[in-house]
Amino acid sequence: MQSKKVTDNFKNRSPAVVGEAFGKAGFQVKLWSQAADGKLTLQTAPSSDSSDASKAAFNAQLLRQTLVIVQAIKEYKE
Amino acid sequence: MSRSNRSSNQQSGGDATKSTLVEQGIEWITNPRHASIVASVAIVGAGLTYFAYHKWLEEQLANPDRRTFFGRRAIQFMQKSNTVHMRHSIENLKGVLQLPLDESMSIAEVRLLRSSPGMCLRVFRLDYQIGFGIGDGLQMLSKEFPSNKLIGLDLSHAMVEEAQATLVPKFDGRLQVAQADVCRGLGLAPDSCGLIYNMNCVYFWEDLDAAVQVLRAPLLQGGSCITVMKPACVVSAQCDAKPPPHQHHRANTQHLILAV
Repeated sequence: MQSKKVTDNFKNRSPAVVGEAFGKAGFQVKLWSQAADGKLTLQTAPSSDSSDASKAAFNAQLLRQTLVIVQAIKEYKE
Repeated sequence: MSRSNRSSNQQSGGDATKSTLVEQGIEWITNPRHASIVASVAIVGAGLTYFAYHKWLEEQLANPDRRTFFGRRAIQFMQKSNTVHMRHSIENLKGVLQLPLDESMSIAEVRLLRSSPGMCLRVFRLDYQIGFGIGDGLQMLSKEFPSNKLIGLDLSHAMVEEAQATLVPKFDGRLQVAQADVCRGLGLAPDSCGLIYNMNCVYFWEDLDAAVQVLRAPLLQGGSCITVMKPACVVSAQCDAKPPPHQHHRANTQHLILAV
């Protein structure tokens, strides 16, 4: 892959963006943050009809975490 | 004049010419009138060296090969930067998957609780890790889920060969490794595995949407794809590698990736 693309990916692929991509593909997405001591917290994402400001605030909050785990669950169908 | 004397004279003449040329070169470089040319050449040279260094390093981070200098640097970086976080995230996997935190339980033996109403029973047969690199993650996954079979996939042929020789024999038939590109299909049967794990790989996937679709196919219904990310990578890239002082150390290590 070209260097420019990888550098762009580092700038653009935030946990929220990656979570959104999984969501678009039909996964149920959960975002977990993990502190430096390993403590896990489930992050509640704003709903799709929330304001842009609250989405931006959520994104910024995720970016402050040490580690983010994007859990994409393939929905179970009866 | 004897032949030996003549050749000795020729050699000393040659040395004198060389030393004169070197002296002239030094004189030209140190001449204040040429300072701007010398500075420009030095800056361009340093820039090209920096660019080439990071380009090679980046290629090796995506596709490492321990036999090369940059491959060894990339592997050292992965060990230093990822291993601790990987261990934490894998130790937390049972919490993320909402599995009972009982050491004797394996994924194959438990029911996966779902957030939607009701519960479903899924038997996980296989887990796999994408971009296993040096294999730390596979060993940690194996320890956390001792009853599951593992598949390690990596873009790098060299890492697959290395794992084939060194890792696979340690797993008593529980581990398979193969070369695969997540953007071009994984070659796994549909609905064949319960857990997919990857850490800091998303930046190297050319097409994120395509990769996500590829990951969906082999997952069992109710199975999870776990993508572990270090947001500092994104923050540092956005901030043009100028972190606040308290993040200095972490940002420096990220810069190694970001600048590439």
